Amino acid sequence: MSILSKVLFGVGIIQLLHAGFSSYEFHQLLKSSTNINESSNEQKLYQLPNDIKLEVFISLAILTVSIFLSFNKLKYYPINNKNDEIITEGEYLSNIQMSKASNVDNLVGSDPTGYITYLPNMVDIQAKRKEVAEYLKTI
Amino acid sequence: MSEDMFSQVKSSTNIQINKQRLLYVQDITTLLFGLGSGILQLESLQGFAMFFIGFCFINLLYIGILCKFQPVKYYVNPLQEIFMDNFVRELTGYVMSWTFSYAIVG
Repeated sequence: MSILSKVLFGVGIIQLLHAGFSSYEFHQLLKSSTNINESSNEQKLYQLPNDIKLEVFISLAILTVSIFLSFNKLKYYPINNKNDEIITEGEYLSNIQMSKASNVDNLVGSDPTGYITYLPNMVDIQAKRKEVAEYLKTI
Repeated sequence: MSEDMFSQVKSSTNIQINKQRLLYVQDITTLLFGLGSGILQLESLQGFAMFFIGFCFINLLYIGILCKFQPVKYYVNPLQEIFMDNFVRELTGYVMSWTFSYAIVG
């Protein structure tokens, strides 16, 4: 959630609470000053003021904007990240086509089937031992 | 299996992620719209009309902004998943917050 989104969300919530309080005060005043037996024509005169209605609609608009602004474009950090590069495809949602979804794994260097391919039974132990021995020689 | 059938394979992880994002937007907006309609002291059909208009408006915004007018890329069956699957859930959440704020304000 970006800072702008958080600020707008705060402003929207405060505005909505303010509208709620204004509406509450208005109805309390209405209860104390009007007669229950008044005709419906007279009661229509006591509708919620337009400024409170407007405040509610504006606050809802601000809150909606803040929620949509809270979504950032998806970013990925490659596993072997030497240059501190961040990969992005410029999209807010993940593509559901498997051919496209695996693009991200390839770019990031992640192996989605790693939990199987790196099981001890699936790994060539001899080759790994040789690799480690060569690595230790270089130290 | 032919090549065409392979191209239709979907990523279940990404489907779930997209559904969760949609659910987050719909949940929070319908609760806020419910609060708004309670403050406005809407009753009966007016309140439900506000829900329908708000729900459709938010979904269209979602399709426009987050899906970039291409919901087919992100949802298997966009019309059903965006407009229908969460409808009852959102309606109950809306009615809850609507009646809650209506009772407090009124």
